[in-house]
Amino acid sequence: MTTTPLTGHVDRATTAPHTPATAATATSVAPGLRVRDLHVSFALDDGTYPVVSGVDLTLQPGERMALVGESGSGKTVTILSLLRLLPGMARIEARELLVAGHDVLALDERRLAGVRGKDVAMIFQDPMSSLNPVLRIERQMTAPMRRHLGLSTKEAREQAATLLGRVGIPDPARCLRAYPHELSGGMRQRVMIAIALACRPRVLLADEPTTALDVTIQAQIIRLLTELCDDLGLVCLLVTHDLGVVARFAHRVAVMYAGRVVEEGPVRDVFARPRHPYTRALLASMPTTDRQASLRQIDGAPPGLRARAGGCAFHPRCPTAVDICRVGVPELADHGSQHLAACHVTAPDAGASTQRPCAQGGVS
Amino acid sequence: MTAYTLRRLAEVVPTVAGITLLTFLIIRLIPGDPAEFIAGDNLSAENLAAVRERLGLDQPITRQLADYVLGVCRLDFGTSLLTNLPVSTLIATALPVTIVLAVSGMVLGTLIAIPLGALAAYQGWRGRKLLDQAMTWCAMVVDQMPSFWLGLIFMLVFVLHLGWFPATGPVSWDDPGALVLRLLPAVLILGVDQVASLSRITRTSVRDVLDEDYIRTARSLGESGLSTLFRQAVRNGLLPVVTAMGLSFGRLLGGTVILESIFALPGLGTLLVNAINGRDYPIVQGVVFIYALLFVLLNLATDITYRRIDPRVRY
Amino acid sequence: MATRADTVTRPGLLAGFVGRRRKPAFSHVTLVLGLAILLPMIVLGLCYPLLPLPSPTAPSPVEALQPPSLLHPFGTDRIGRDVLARTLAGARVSLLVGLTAAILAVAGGMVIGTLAGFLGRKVDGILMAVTNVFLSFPSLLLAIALVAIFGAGVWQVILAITVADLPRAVRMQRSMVLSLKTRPFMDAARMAAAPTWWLLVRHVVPNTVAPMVVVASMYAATAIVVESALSFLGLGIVPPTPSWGNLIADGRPYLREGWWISTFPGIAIVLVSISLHLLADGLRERFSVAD
Repeated sequence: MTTTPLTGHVDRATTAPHTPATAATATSVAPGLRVRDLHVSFALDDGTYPVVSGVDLTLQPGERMALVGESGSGKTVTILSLLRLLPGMARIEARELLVAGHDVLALDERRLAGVRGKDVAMIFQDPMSSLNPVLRIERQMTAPMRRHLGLSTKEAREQAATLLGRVGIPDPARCLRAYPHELSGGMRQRVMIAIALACRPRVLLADEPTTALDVTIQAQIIRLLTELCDDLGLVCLLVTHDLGVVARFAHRVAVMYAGRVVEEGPVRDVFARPRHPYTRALLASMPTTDRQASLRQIDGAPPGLRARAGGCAFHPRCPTAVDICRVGVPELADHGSQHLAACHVTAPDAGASTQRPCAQGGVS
Repeated sequence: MTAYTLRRLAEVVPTVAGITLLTFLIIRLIPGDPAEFIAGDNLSAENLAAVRERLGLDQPITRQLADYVLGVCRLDFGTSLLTNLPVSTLIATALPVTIVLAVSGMVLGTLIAIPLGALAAYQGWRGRKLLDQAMTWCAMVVDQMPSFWLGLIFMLVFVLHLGWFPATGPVSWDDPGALVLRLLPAVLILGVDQVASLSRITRTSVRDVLDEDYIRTARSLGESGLSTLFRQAVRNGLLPVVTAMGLSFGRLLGGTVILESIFALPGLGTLLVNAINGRDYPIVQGVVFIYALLFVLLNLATDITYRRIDPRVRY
Repeated sequence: MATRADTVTRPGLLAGFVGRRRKPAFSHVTLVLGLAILLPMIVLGLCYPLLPLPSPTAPSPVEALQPPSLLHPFGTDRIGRDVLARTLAGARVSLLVGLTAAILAVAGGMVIGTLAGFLGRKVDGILMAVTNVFLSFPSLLLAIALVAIFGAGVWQVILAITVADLPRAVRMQRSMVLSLKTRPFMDAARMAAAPTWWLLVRHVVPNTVAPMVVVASMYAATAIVVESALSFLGLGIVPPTPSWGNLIADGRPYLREGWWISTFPGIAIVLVSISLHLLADGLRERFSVAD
């Protein structure tokens, strides 16, 4: 695959970025993504339930982060809330929700629509259902370009063809004239990626982009995404439950469980020295090529929306749980080199109260 | 697409054959002696013989069928027993009224129902449940009311009490003003009858589309509110509505029969009812055939329209 | 852990969170409301001879065309008959016709539809060809045509409406049977060497009963409306037998000076229709909860 960056005449209609009220940042360059204390709840018929409880995420320019968790961990809700794409019953609250420099919570619908697709773009899990079945690809690709960049139909079409070539579609002209159901799954996902990148966003959000694809295609798509992110200097947040994808794609990883981030850090570090029992269990349950080993699983199931227990949400399934885990929600503690984990037992300054019973492998 | 049309037209042929057979049987299936039933009071031998001869009942059944089929191909259904006029002439005079009623009623109904349903769906989707529920409940309540009940109430209030429309009178095609006044009540009721059911289907369908993933994709690319709705959702949401329209043509045609009676309009329905009461069976056969043919053709048109809207349907 | 637990087609975002749109209690409301309106009408219709009401058939010219009053809550008609009594008498006939026709149509549809769906090939082909021809007539038209053949009268009307509704019921049952035929539990039963008829009776048909009961309630509503339409046109049930339809027709010439004659039977029809639809909705909710 070539690594030529996107070329072409792209007229960017300029929008003045919404400068955040608090300009205090640790680095001199503004982060691509900064989320502080995100809470999302769903107002259902029988009550309001928290889905995401206090999530912090920061992504520096050019950084790629993976958000990992099982179904029901809140990872998809987290990423959708960044563009306020959740259904009507959702309530989003955060101390700070900055995406590509925009304060997402403060924007009204119209200005938010100006940001979506232009400065921030998203690709979704199932490209078949995520593309409109009765419209041709050309129409779906050129619409955002005409709207955000002010291109004419002809210019947009040329740009679209170039984009399709860049994402690896062999016959862009034919693809443009086609309907989604006429393309294969891998091609559809490439088309989705092309549409998302059409207006040169700064931030790319991806919700399980490879889950619905064949295993062989998954690798290609991940490779494509990696290249594009590097070429365009994108900040990328990718949601997945596949640890292999995490390893290949991301610089940092955040593990979510029951609506909270329980561990976060550089991928290498987290995989090599997991500090949270859940992360350890996830890594241990990955199948290896050792045919003798049986598949290890984590007993029990994640708590449902209505059944979240007090204290640490993982404690019912945790092999190293102690008394305090039942009552106190653990905070994210720094284990060095930007590796954080929220666990009473493994916390670096854990006192005597957490020494019993003895954890497997000790507090290392 | 033309190939599809031709194929559907070909499929229509056996259906029309079946309709022909069934209408043929209308007279022959009368319990007892059809000729006696039709002759009514005058049961003298010579009258019975005359009736049999008129209806061809004295011929062998195969000959009867052949004559009938050939007649149908020429749209010749014989002559009226009571007036001796050709049935096809009577039908030709009455048909325009019914067609105008049916088409206007459907058009009116659709023009109101689709925006109403789409709007209700949009409100509900954006979380403004009250408006959505209100529209749905109203439509549901009106849906329960049979069209002839609505017609009678209309007659009572607007025609008899308020006198806005004439209760009787000829339908003359030369005088558009008078024509509208004569036909409008029936068209309104037919339209309202359609609105009730079509708007609910539109609402459900549009709401389902709004919940689809590709709407979320469009939103993620910057499509906003009303623009998203009318560009993508309605276009996709129309498919079940078109199907529903096809089904409700049956209700529409049935409604014309009753409303023609209530508002004294000289359409096919009035012709049919009078013919049945007068035991004028050649007319009965012909009118039933035409109604069925209309229904089949309308459904065909619906199918073809559906195919044009949805590129996924392949035959 | 790398399990594909997430659904592939629709993201499981809301799957665990939102079960059904309505609270379970709501289905009870529709059901109860429907029955609350329907049952009293049935009871009244059946028992009206026992009630202290004036005779529905005896004329009383002195009291002709009186508006609703305490003595005659629904007023009187042109020859002095009490409209309330006539409405109740009509209730008996209209409800009988409607409910019977609906039950017969659904029962017949279930039998024919099951045969068509299960026996397949030729039987199915013939049955469906016939059904499709019937379906190419608008149902009211079909009922009218059938009444033209059979003549007027209670049983003729029941037969006509039954035959008019039968094709749709057949098609519905057949499509349910066809989809059930391919379900895994059928293969399992077949592997246990179960005979065809046993499969039908024990496995397939019970799964179709609940939806068809819902359908029957809806058919009852339309059947009552169709009967009244037919009788209104003079084609269905004719005097002296009262039915809501011909009661309305009776009042037509007097619509201006005696609006009550047509209106009250009409209201009765609407109420019964609404109650049967509510019943159908309530039943549908109940049955889908039980799934």
